[in-house]
Amino acid sequence: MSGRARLALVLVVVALALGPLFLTPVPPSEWAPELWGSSFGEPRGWALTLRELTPLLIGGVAVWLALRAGLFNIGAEGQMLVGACATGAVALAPAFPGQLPLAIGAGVLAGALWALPAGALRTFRGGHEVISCIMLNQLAFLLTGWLVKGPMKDPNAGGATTKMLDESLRWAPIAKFGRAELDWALPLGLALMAGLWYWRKHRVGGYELEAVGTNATAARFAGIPAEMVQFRAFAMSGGLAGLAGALLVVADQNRFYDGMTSGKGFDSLGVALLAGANPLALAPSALLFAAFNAATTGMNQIGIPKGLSGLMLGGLILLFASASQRKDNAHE
Amino acid sequence: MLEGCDEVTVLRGGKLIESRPVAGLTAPQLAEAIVGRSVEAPELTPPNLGEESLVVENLTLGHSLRDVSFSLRAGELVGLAGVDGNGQRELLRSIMGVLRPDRGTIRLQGLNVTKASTRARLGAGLRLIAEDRYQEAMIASWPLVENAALGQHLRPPFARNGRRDLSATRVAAQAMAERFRTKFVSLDQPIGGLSGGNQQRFIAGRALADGGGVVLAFQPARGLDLAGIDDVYGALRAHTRAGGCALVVSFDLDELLAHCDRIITISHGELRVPAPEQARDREAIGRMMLGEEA
Repeated sequence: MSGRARLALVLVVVALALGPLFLTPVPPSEWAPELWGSSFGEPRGWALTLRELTPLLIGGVAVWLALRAGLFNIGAEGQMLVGACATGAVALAPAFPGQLPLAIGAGVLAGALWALPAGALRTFRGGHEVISCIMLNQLAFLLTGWLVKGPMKDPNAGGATTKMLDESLRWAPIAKFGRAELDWALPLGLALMAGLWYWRKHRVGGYELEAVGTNATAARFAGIPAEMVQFRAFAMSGGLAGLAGALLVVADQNRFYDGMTSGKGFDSLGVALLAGANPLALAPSALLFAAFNAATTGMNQIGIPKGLSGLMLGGLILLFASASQRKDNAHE
Repeated sequence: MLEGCDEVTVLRGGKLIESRPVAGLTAPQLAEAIVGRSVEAPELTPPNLGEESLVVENLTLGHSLRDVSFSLRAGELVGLAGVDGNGQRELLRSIMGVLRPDRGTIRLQGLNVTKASTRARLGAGLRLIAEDRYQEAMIASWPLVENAALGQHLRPPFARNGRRDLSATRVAAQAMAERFRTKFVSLDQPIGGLSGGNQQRFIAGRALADGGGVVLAFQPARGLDLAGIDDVYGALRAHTRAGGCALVVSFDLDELLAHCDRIITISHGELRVPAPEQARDREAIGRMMLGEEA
């Protein structure tokens, strides 16, 4: 493609991305500052973006892991939700020593267990993981919804929510900048991402994962137990999604409520897909989604419907994805 | 070409080598012009036979393999002749452990590996030059250096205790590429970008990299030019003379007759060994390949 054609294409996509905003009655002089202000502006923008970032980053790590093994973990949403619910359940039980780590562990385990049926069905029986994951998501919504409207409900609350966690079970922020809080969940997410990068580049396990995801037949001929590798990757993916849910409870919301993951698991798919082959790209990718989610909330308050912001995000993802695809093709 | 053309022009490496009338030209002369050095059928020295390295007994798999029994001894290069689709594929896959036979036993270097994983068999010294490069032998989008480790990636020099040794991998990859003169720009280029012949050179180099062991080769000369065919069979011979053994599947009987110590045939999943007096009888082996009486 010539330079001019590429420029034209970029402009078309940018126009598609921002175009919807011009269709609203809100003038650009109002939405443009809001777009920036509610994502990166001081003080509330950063606060919102940071809150969105952590679950998207860890969720992105989760989905990315399965993706590299050739599996599409669209069940991250449900795994995150049951992870959050299990963490809430353990954290709200009568106090006992080691409750916080155990609560987080319960979230990880619940997420992994929720991924297990889909992983087993796919790797040992050939049932497509996308179908079973979508069904498991539905089960997760219904089960956690029932729990939080029934046994786990805070009797004094109007809505479907649990009580707030005891102070001792909340992750205190490391630092506060105005209204923005930085808690330990974000560094943990970044460490997971860096660990994944190292594992994939330097450990035999990462090599095998990548081999299975790229060409499972060649991997089998090379003595790699492809089914086992996929199954493990999928269970770990579920566990990581469960961790994202667990941290949502202990580090962010300090309670569990109905539907509290609100699409973060689905957004994690976008985060992982956008990051492509490089795990270190998960951080900027998650930041983009987080900023957009934050902006959507802000824009909604000045009268721009959420759907339009979603369209913008779609356009931008198209732009970034095609740019990274071009880079991939250049390697071929 | 010698029969149908009046004149022949030879190009090699982008240079005009010669242009002359066909009359008076012999096949070896033409081959020499194409390859740049003389290609003559190798003098087959008799093998120095050792222990039985690969023993297959009563291997049965559906209708593809029927009671297949044979053995390979250290030091010999054996050709498996047959028409495509007569069970060669299933036999090699069963020996690799990628397919599970219904019955029978497979012994590798004295170990019963009938139920062992592919990984264990690779560890016991089994190597494969696979039939379908793109599906079975390589990961096309991966660079040469990553493909070099495939199959041996758990073991030195490629890894120790689960940690990959990237610099040793590069050294090994370079040696594999040079073994059969793979033409490549960089070890970091995807192997899928090489020509088929060069991919095959690299994969053959990988299978024969560490010496010893049992090599299974499915059409190892596929996609290679004359010099490449010579190189690969030469290397297989050198491998067997150094104490390894090899089983070569080819649909080209002449190729096998020219290079192998002995030939066995497969037809409709049944393996047959030519009688000693017919061991190099092209016509008789040809009839056996078709399932007829020799």
